[in-house]
Amino acid sequence: MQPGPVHVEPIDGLRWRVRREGPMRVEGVVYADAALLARMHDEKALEQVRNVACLPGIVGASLGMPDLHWGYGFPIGGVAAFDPATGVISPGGVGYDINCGVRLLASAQPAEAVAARRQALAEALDHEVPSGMGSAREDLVLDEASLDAVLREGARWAVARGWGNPADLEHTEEGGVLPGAAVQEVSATARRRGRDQLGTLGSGNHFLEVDRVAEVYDEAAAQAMGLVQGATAVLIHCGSRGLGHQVCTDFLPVMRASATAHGIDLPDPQLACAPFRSPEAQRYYGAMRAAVNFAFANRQVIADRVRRAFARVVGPQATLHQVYDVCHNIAKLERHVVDGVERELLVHRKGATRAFPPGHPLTPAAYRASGQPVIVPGDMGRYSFVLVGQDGAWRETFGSCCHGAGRLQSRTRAQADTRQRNVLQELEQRGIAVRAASRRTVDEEHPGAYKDVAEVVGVVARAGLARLVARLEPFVVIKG
Amino acid sequence: MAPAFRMLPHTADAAFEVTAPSWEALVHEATVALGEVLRPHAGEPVSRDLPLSVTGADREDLLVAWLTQALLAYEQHGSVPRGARLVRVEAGRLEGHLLAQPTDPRREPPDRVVKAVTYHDLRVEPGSEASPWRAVVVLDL
Repeated sequence: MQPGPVHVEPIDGLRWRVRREGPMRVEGVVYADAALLARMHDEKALEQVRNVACLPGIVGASLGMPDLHWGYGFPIGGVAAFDPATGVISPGGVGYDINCGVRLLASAQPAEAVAARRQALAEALDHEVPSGMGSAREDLVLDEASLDAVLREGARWAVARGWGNPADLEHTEEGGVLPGAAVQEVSATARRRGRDQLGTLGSGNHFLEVDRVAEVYDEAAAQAMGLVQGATAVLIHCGSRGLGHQVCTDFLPVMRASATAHGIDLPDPQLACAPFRSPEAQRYYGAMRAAVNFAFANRQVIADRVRRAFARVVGPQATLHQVYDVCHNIAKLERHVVDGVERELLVHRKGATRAFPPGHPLTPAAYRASGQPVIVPGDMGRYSFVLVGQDGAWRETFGSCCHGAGRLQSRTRAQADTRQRNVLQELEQRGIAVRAASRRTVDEEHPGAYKDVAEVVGVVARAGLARLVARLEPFVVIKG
Repeated sequence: MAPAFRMLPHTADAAFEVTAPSWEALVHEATVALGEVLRPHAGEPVSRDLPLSVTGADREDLLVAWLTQALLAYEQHGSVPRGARLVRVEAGRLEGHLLAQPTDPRREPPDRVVKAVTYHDLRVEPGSEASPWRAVVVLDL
């Protein structure tokens, strides 16, 4: 579609319609208040919502969550569902970091007591979980057979080795493994990049943090999750590392060629896609599922190392149970109701979280009354939120909701804003111990570089997509 | 000599534009630009010469594939890309050498961590007598 103004009209105070025009096959619907919408206009993210609406086989609408911002091809915070028979799959709709996601652990330990040991805990976590570019583990280098097993079995592989327990799997999206991984479609380069990266955080906006449960909004849901006001929680945000990036890189030219062969006009080459039933699409889907499983295993191994660090520094009483693990970069076949008819759809969530409502059979039994946990990180100086999926998400967004805050400042601007400041010291003065691969990372990721995630979750809560359960505030942050 | 690239504004990641008098020179300048994002060149010796060969359906594919290989050379060996010397240029194929500065990333961390070379808003525009070749590349940070 040619660049041009995007025509947006209000549906109500929280929903905006991107008017269907030109080659768009469906309209766009964006969830935002007026302030968030203005920023989306500035970033051209709405043009990307429009571009996605042009892809073959899209069903319903091209959706934008309140944390919508400019991504590659698909916007980040975008949700799009496709008819598997007539629609496409797009690596750009999943993202480079396949199955980037968030895992939430919780402990009954009072945060005050844990925070008293925050420097020692930060050191221990920094030691246990390598971070930064190309971070690798010398103590866990996978041979070819083990890597194949990780790619097929996901988090189950790690739990079977004693790195976690079966309850972790029950509280992980898809039970921590997607069936149908095509390990033969994962290239030698991808395998080489991944073989020593299991149990590592990576770089950029990935993090590991220890939080205080600062406020509980929904006692019943919080109780089901074992979240107690004033107690401790841990957030782990990372994905499939170099292996997943390489899978995406490997398949983008394949999908570009397929789009050309099938006469699919691409407004942006990063929207490269292939008809889902085509052989090349099935090859990507199989490789993507292998990378999804690598990411599940990665967060499982990290969680195990976090538990070890807690036991060593805080004490054996500081047990951490898994609340939930959600993906926010993925494409999956799911069953949804469209125009009153249940059907199978290929749902792309890029920077968007599954948010299934109370009663959904795929929601773990412990949460079936309240809804599937949704974990929405903010920035390293303020707070993150825990929510539960609601009926509105099931009715309107293919069971999806937001995934984070989204950047407010460019990295260059963030550096300029912090040049005369010592962000590490500022955070320390606020009781937050930070370890990071570089000073530059801390400056680029400083709290003011991100939108206020409270605005984002406020919109999804008011729109009925999810309900607020708790607010978490960090006192230890490990940045990649 | 003035650099043949300039950084473009981008909220979350990094983007650059390069211009050059030929396709071969464009690949060289894009390689230089990638290296500058990873680690600005302060005159250190460019003593590493790595043979590279990539294939692709068109020039966009070839440029992304070449830069991706250059990025992997940095990730795996600490070889900061400083240029490209192409010895075989034909439709669908580039062969040549990556010219690189050897570093130890553990002791000399990158200025910027680049995770991928993307197709997002990718442009490769052939030059003419009146204007040079031009490329725009967005990097995933």
